[in-house]
Amino acid sequence: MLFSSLIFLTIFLPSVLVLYYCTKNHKTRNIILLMFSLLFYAWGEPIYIFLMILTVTINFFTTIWFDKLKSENKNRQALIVFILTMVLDLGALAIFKYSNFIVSNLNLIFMLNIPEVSIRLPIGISFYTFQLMSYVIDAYRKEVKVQRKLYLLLTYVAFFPQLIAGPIVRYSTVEAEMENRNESWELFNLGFQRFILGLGKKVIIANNVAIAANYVFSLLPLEQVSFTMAWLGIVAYTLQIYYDFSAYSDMAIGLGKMFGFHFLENFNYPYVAKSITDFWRRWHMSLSTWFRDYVYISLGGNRVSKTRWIFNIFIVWFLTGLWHGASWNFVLWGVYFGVILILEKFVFKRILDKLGLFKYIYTLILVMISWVLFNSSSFAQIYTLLNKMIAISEGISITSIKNARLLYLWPYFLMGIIGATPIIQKGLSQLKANLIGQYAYFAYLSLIVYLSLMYLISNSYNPFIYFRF
Amino acid sequence: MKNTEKIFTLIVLLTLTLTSIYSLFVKEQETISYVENRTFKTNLDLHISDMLNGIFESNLETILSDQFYNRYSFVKNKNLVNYSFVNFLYQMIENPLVLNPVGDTYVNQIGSTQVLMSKPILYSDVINQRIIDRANQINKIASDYPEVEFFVYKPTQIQEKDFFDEANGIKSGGNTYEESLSTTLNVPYSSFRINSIEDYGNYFYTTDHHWNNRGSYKGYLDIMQMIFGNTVPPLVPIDETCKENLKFFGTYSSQSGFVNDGSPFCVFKFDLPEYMVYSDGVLNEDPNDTNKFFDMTISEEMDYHYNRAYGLGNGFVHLETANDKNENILIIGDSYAGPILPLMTPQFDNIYFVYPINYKGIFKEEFMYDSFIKENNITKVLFMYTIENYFLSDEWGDRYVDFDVKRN
Repeated sequence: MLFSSLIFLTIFLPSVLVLYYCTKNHKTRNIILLMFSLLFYAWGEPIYIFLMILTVTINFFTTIWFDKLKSENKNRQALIVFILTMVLDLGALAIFKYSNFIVSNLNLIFMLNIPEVSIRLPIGISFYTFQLMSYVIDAYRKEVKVQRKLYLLLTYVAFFPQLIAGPIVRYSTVEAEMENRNESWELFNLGFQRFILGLGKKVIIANNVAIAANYVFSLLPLEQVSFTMAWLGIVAYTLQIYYDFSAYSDMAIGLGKMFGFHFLENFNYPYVAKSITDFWRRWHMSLSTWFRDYVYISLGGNRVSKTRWIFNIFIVWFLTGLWHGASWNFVLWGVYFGVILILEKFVFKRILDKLGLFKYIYTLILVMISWVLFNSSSFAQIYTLLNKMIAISEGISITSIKNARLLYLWPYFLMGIIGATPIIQKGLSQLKANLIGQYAYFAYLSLIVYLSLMYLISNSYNPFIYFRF
Repeated sequence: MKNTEKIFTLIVLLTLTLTSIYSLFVKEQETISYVENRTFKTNLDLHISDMLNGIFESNLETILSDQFYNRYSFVKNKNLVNYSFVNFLYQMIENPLVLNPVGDTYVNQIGSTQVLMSKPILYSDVINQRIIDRANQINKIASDYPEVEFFVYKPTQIQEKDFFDEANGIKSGGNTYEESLSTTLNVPYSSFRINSIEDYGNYFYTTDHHWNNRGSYKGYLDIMQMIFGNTVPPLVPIDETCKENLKFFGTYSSQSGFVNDGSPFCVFKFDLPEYMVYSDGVLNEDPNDTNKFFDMTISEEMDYHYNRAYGLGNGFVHLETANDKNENILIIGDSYAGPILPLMTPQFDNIYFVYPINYKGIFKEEFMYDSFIKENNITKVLFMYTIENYFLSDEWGDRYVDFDVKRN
């Protein structure tokens, strides 16, 4: 089920809210959240829901098991159980997400003819596996208490606001709130308003710029890609992926607040970053900190030799790329960032500091190039788009945008570009400072609700990019 | 302010919930969207057995969207918003031949005028071959019935013309298609001439693909000239009636959200002999039937005035006159034929009209030319449909196949 669907907005969300707030104690409330979360997942994955329940159940029992072994000072056996749990989690991910990727590469390298397996990717498997792993690792490290109630661990993993497309909420973030949280009207309203802003970002901006991105990346034949269309598509996708994903995070964080949870932020205006290092402090923060804490630091981080440090960075970004999808273009995308980050750390750092305004342009262009790698379906497409991006001699052709029937999208691009900076947020904060401004803010939110409904009812383009991860 | 926040939250959530309950369970379910030209899903399309394969979920979302209270105003406003954005830019374009897409639809506005049109028809070898194939089908049947006269008339549409090629950097295919058709055919051929944008404005509605009363009358004159030369004087209108205070908003309007003003709706009156009308085999017993092709009882709330006024929702129409000329004509056509049919009554005993797509839909079988020509003593056959029906394959299916000359 999509947050930006009429079913969610008009049936699912009101139903879960009514039942949730009709009950008093948190045990019942958690059970209601669990039931609705399972329904939310089953709505799109009626079969794979059992895979998720099974995975959580196994992790629940193995965690109790290695915790018991540790308390009995059987550390070696505890480590074996812990490793086995990790292998099981990553194995499930490998089977459902990477088996065909592995098979096709084995076939290619060793000239084999192994048939591909017919497995559909369970929605959100990368997200919930990483959440579960964060719980198991933290429990092994004794950083969180082992959860002794299966339904609570299941509620944590399956909790519908963050189940399918993040943010990756660590168990440590919500551990205390699972059993004891303070819901309030104030928090509820804040959450609801955040949800509306996210809905608007998704339905009004992301879905509309996506029309141009989809046209250039999926519909336009490669031989017809021009300088103008290449830039149009890349700018469109740059805006789409940010608004799509950050909107989902906004809605997730907002929904969390409506039920009394405090999720950590996942985005912080990444397109105004001063370097790629800064960009990754602002983009998909829950994923980058996950890799930092559970992979990079586990490998030794930067407290090792320079060669080993470079190797650690490379491994983290190779895995980050692979996490996004079973395809070489994602690996290339991850390695691309790894290489830039290594260069920034060892070569560019001092130069970047002196670049002034240019460092923002440097970052943005490198990020846009990364989206070409990320979203292209073939290396030929990557080559064509990158090649056309520098074909300045072709000049800008507004006619080609008009003939592609995309000219009407210009205000969505404008809104997208302005909204990717903190300007709107600052404006809204100032607006809410006085009474009239507060009413204007509600009018603004009402307009967003109306416009979102208008686009949803008109059957506009409405995909979510991060669902496939 | 906290109370205001509470009230806002409650109002939004309650409005959303109550509207969906009303739309799904209380409001009468709508089955057809005339303005969007498609059928709606209703709550009858929901089956619990579809839950495992995902159909239930997608159907419920579609039903909510289709049946949502006041749906069309949302759709219309979306189109208006997109049009306003793009029209802002169009005001800066001075070339009147530049085609400006209206929002995200297939409709174009000519320059910054009030005239709307479809996308230009570009050249393709596939289309050209389909046109040649159809012409050859017509040649074949014409050669098989030497005693029957065959004619082809093409009501030209603006999107075939090359007026817009230079200003828009495109290569339209209309001229090539016309040449392929006229040179391949071995039977008399004629087409509606549009010599300029002004011509188009005179003969067509500004927001619809159909010709207006002046256009259809000009088409009638072309056809009379092709069939009878100068031997039979054509009918002359005795009056022109325009519906007061009524603006005709055509398919381009409904598709693009009524962004532009409509056109006046007028019909000509002719002095016609009495005739009976059988629609899809059923005699229309209303005493006003003879006038139904020029029906001005239309009103603003009716859905599509052109079809209402010229009575064309049928697959097979038979106009039976009291003449005794031993002349029967079979017209294979589309919605452009409506205003022409009654004008044929002075010259023929029987006028038979077949609209192949509707015929197949209504009678659940193909129209068979050979048996019909033989059984009804047909003396003349006129093919008169627009170029799209020679080649078009769209979301409604392979329309060009429906218009093939089916033999038995």
